[in-house]
Amino acid sequence: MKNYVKQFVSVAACGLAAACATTHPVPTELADARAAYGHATSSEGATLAQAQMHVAKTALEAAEKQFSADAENPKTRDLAYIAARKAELAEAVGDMARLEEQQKEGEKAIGQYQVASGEQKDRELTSVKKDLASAQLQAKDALLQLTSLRDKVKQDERGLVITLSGNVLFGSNKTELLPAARTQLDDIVRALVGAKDQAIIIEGFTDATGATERNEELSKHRAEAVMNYFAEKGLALERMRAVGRGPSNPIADNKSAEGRATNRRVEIVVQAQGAASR
Amino acid sequence: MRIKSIVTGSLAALALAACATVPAPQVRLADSQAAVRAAGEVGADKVPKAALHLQLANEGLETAQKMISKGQNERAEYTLQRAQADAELAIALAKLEPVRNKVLQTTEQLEQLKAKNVR
Repeated sequence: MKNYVKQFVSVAACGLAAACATTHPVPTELADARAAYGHATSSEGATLAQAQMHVAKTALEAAEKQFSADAENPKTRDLAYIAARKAELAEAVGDMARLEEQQKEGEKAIGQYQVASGEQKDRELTSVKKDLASAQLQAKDALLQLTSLRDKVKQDERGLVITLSGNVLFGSNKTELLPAARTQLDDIVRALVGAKDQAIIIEGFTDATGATERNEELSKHRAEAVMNYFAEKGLALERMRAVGRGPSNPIADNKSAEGRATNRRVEIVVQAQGAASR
Repeated sequence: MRIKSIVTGSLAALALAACATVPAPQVRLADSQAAVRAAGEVGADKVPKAALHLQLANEGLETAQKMISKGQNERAEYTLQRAQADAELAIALAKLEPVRNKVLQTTEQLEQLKAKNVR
């Protein structure tokens, strides 16, 4: 009889405990932990952080178990709080792994574009070679000079364009050529001296800092300085023209120091026959 | 009545004895302090969401130390676990921020290259 009574009391006690657990309101911490775990497991990086997800799951299970056993115990809220943090940590670990993968893919794609761009420059140089030959240049010497300026040369609707950094040619706000600039300009003179029938336009550009009028004047004086140097070195003055473009036609963002430096430049345009000019 | 008070008194004595036998969570305290220090070192205070969890971790440490001084060792243990979890999350969030920014820059650069290539 005593045994039956004992069993009845245990069963009744378990039933009462279960009833208490189900009727107890879920603490905010546990609700947050459940939500955080759900969010983490459905995040994009979830599969990349499986170990951390498992830790989060174990923590949540411990909290749920404690809630079922003793909902009112502060330990329930503590374990739930910890479970929520573990879930957020798992999600952060997954995000990190996903972003690192994305970064690698992005860098690879940029590399491919840069290779393609180099190949494009090679194609442009090949096209320039043909144009120069047809313009009756001293082909061999001229081509060797241009190859050394590979990174500065491009072909566009105006003709062959050689872009030189303003910072290399001139001091800040100055219009006198720096001594170091002459070496680069000498290379260009050697390449161009054979192109007797082609017009050359030297265009000066500035960044967008300061008054437009002043920048146009500065860029014009700089273009003239380059043109006069070319004339001193043997290029016919009558085939050259110097133009100040000021801050127009920027090729980089003027908001950054690097962008402004890029925009401060001189472009030497060897006009293709019948080419458009700005 | 007398039996009731004997039983109540015994239960209370047992509870007190149980509390007194829980040692101060020195290892957990050291671990939590180390995690909080690490969070500070990776610049968690400079990333908004990480900074929040770093602050929660610091507050948890402070609360736990007060609990230890009062002999509330079991409560202190759980409070320190919470603090450590906050600090570990702060570390992860702080490390995530520069990676996220770098990916944004790379994506922008790629978009510019694509646009240039189309022209």
